[in-house]
Amino acid sequence: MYCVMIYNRIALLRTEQGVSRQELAEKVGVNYQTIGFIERGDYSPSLELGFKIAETFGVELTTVFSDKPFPSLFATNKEKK
Amino acid sequence: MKRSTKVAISRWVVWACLVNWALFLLLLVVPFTGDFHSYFLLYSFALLPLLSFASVIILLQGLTTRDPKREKSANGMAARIIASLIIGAIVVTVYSITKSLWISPWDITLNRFAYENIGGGAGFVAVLLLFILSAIQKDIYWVARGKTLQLDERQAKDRQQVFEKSYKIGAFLVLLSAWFFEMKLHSLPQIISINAGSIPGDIYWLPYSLALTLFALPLVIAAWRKK
Repeated sequence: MYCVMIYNRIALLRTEQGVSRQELAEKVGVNYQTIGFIERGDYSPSLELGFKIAETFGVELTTVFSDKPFPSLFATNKEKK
Repeated sequence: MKRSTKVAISRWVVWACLVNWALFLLLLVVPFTGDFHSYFLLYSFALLPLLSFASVIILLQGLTTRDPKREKSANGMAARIIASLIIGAIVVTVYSITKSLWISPWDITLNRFAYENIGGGAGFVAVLLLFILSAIQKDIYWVARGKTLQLDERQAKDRQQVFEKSYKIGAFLVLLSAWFFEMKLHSLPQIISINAGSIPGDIYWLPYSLALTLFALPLVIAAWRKK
C-alpha cells in the first residue's frame, strides 16, 4: 500500500495556545490518545479531521500538516540572524 | 464507595476466581492427596460458580480499570501474555483430547482420564482467558448491551484491519480443519471400536476448540499487533 508520511505541528500549536490533548480531542471529537498517535506520526488523520484540527487552532491546514518535515525553529532563527 | 476501592475489591475477586479455578483443575487431575483434596473440591463446587459469575460481571462492567476514560491497551503486555496463554490452552486442549481418543478406557497403563481432564480444563481456561482479554480490549472490541460502539476514525480503522486479518486467518483455519477431518475420517471407526462402540463425549472438544479459536482470533491478532 502506498503510504506517505504526514508531518505535523500539533504539539507546537498546542503548547503555544495552551491546549491539552484532552481538550483538543474533545473539540475535534476523537479519543485523546488519537491526538497522541497523530502527533507522533503513528496515524495520518483523514482530511476531515485535519481540517477540524486546523480550524480549532485557527490556522490553515498547511500550517499544521505537511508531507515534508517542518524546519526546526532553531535552524530558522539561525538563518534570520 | 470510592472507585479506587471498588477497583481494588474487583481485582481481588477476579484473582481469587482465577486462583480457585487453577487449583480446582489441578486437584482434578493429580492423584488424590487426602482430606484437604476432597474438602477443597467440595467447597469449590459451591464457590466457583459464584466467583465466576461475579468475575464476569466485573469484567463486563470494566471495574478493574482505575480510569474509565482511558483507552485500554489492546496490545499491551498483559493482553499479549493472555493472548499467548489462550493459544497455548487451545493447543493443549486439542492435543490432550486427541491423545485421549486413542487410549482405551480400560487401559490402566495410560491414564486416559488425565488427558481428558487436562484437555477439558484447558478448554475452560481458554474460555475464561478469552473473557479477560475481551475485557482488557473492551473499548475497541466489546459492545456492551444498550451501548453503541463509539469509535473515532483511528479506532475504527484499527478494528477493521484486525477483523479483516482474522477473517482471512479464520477462513484458512476452517479449510485446514475440513481437510484434516477428511484426511482422518477413516480413523473414526477405529476410535469408536477403542471406545466400546460409542463416540467418546470429549471428541466434541475438537469442534469447540475450532469455534473458540475463531472467536479468539480478532482478540489475539489485536493483542499481537505492532505497537
